[in-house]
Amino acid sequence: MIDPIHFVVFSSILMLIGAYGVIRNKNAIVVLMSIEIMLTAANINFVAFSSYYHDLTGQVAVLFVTTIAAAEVAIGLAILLSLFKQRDTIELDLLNTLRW
Amino acid sequence: MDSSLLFLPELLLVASIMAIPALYIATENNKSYSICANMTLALSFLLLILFWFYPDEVSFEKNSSVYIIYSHFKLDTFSQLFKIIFVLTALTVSVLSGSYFEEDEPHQAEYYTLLLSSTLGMMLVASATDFLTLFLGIEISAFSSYAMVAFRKQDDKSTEAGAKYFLIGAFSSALTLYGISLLYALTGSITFEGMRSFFTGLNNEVVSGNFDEVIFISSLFILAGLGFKIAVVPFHAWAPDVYQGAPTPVTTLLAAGSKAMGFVALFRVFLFTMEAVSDEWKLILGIIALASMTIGNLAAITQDDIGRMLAYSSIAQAGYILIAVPALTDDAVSGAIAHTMVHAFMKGGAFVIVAGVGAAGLGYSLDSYKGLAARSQLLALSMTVCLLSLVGIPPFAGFISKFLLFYGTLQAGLSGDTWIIALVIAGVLNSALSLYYYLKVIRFMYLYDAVGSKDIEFSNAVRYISFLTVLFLAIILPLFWQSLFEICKEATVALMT
Repeated sequence: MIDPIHFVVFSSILMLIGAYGVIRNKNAIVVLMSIEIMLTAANINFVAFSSYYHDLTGQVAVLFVTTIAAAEVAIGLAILLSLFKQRDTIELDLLNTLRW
Repeated sequence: MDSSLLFLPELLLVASIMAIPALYIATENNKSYSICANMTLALSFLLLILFWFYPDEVSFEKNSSVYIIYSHFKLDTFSQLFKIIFVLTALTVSVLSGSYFEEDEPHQAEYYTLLLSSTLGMMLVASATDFLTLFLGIEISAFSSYAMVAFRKQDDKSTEAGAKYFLIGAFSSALTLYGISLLYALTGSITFEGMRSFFTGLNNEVVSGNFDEVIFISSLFILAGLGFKIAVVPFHAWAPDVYQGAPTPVTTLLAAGSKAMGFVALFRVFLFTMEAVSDEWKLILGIIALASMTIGNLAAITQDDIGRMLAYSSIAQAGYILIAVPALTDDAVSGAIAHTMVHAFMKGGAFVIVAGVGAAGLGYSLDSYKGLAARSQLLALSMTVCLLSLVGIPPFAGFISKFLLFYGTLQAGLSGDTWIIALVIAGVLNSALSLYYYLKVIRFMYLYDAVGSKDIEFSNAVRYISFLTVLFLAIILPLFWQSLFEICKEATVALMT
């Protein structure tokens, strides 16, 4: 039998993988992918506890979050594309014109 | 009156968001988009004012609340008050953008569409009754502002600021979502009302079990996302870069509107939903407030770009407002609401002057303010009023709201947790410290000679807005401070019950 705790453990491992990816990676596209992993971690919690409580709200939330994730990628890639056109790179370490 | 009519201000924005792209296809006239946006926002503002005073059961003066759209939307004094602030800010930004951008600046249709959808997101946040609507509102507003920050594609700084803002913003909103999912896992409900009753039950031992760690961790996650919106210290790194790099009208929207939206969400989550379990998050919010005001003020001293300086000052102001949240009393919270509103006016007013000076070709460094009084008395006066108001010098509006905030929090500290008194003392000391860098700008404006020509035309929009700012901050709010206080009291009652 799978307890709710297993879902929470699984989703927190995914969350940590995603956060690690955001912090460690220097390529903006990989950072974007890691953010998607973090959103998936939240989705797993929603779906798991939606079936645990027999409440559909969690599944509706997942639909909305998936839409948000798609919109996020669209906006993000557009911004990164215009960055690439100017600098020919999307290395995050090179974002250093604005600093004190 | 049919209560779903109350959704009209938002619906107007939605209609206009669809109308501006249609205008873009029909005409190539850049003026038409700005006229359309201005008209929509002005109409929406008038409707909100009308609903505020409408003598009916839905009148918000008498503190009633109405639920619409299958009770996903709650309209009460608190939400309507902040909607008025959001629409007013957006109207200012829209009028300002008309004069700030060149006639042939590309992508203006997109710009005004995004401005309206960002405002729509803020208004959704103000009346959300569940975490899903709240999150959607925050994201609608955030996505629009990411694109607005990066909207000058040829400008290197604007693109870099947009990329930074997007990456940090997406990361922190993912963290918030995880916090929300943990709360859903714990309570089995996603509405504020449902979670509140679960936490109250937990407090009264109707619900058994010890969930302290889960509540602590999920409040940390949620705080990471909302803290990004209001730019408090561990999550503040984006603010100076974005405020400097973005086109100044967009900065005005971020500093005045987006920040107030963050506070609205924070108040709804922490003061209403998680009030019963305040022991878990009180201390962490106190530490964040203290760190935020100290680091913000210290970092502002050394800045030589006006946008960066105002960004750090806005980080410090977020710290002041945050001290009222752990205090949890009605007086402290109404002070926080008052200061959030007045902060939107002061910061918005200051950035309007920055936009005007920048658009006149004088630049964005502190040195470009040397001798501003000789160039335009009105702009210098307005900047002075805004800056002195940010410090909290007596006759101006900033003093009144800051006094309410600090006094209410001090009362809470004297009767409850004593460590809150330390936060108030730190706030007062920090205000004194902040005087240094605000006075530097005022000294530059009045005591130095202007470099270059004295005859510089500032646009009419900037002059009118700065006149209205002076009128509002130096005359109207100080004279009618009692009604401001009463409105904030009503809003607090609407928020916390």
